[in-house]
Amino acid sequence: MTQAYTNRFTEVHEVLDGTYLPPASKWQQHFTSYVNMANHQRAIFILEAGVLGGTVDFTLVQATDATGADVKDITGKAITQISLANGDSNTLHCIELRTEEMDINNGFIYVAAMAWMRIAPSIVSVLSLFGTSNLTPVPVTAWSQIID
Amino acid sequence: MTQAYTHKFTEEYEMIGQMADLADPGVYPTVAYRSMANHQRGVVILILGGMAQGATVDLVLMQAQDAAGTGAKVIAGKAMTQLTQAAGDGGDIVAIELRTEELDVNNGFSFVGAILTIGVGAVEIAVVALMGASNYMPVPTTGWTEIVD
Repeated sequence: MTQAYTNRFTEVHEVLDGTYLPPASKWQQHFTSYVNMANHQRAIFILEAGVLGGTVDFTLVQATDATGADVKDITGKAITQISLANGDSNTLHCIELRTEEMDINNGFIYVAAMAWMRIAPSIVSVLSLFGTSNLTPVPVTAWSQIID
Repeated sequence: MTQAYTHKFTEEYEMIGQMADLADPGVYPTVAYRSMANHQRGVVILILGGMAQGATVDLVLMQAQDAAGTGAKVIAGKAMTQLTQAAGDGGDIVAIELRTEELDVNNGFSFVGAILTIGVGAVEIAVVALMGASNYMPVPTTGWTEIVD
């Protein structure tokens, strides 16, 4: 079923870590915050690439607590590496996630995204949205402004 | 009603515009004019990173009568409060929601765009524009470079 006309986007999608990555920090792996999926059945992680200087990898990881304990990859949840050499500047990527794709049986209920900038600084932005919420409307505290 | 578990996000929401840049002062037509004929709702999300000394950022939704921007005018009430370096707004995230009834449809304004204005100094900025409450699903995914599912 599609989004209902009577629902705001921000009522049904919680933004739990919307992070822009400044150029000065590009020489490293950057993790978004680990988020408990207990109240959501789906999430989407959007990576916007601006002008690339080197390569960028973007993948989802799972952990057993909010500090990232036992962190490991979520199988199949990585984009194809993008690079300046391949002309991938100004491209747009997303990774969809369902809770059933996590290793829930072993307690891996926290998810984060990892962006890894290598070779040279690149301009990228990461936006993570949590949907299919058990309880709506979802909290809106992460937004600075909502204009409705 | 919330998103159904059996629906991908990218089946429900059509990506219609984006930018990620270290942008200098200027006016940017961030989202090209796009018909809302097949959607009842839209949302434009702005993510702000670092801001140079004195920098300001404004984002407003526009409406027009065609994809070329004919008759373009502001959609009343669809401008965010200006973000400024002076107020420590770097790192902010903003959403502007839109319903079709808020457009001047009676006068043929069925196309939506967004204009970003950056003043004084450069800013690290990203914009994502999505259209939802779609009449026809699944929506086109041509706006994405890659979808990992």
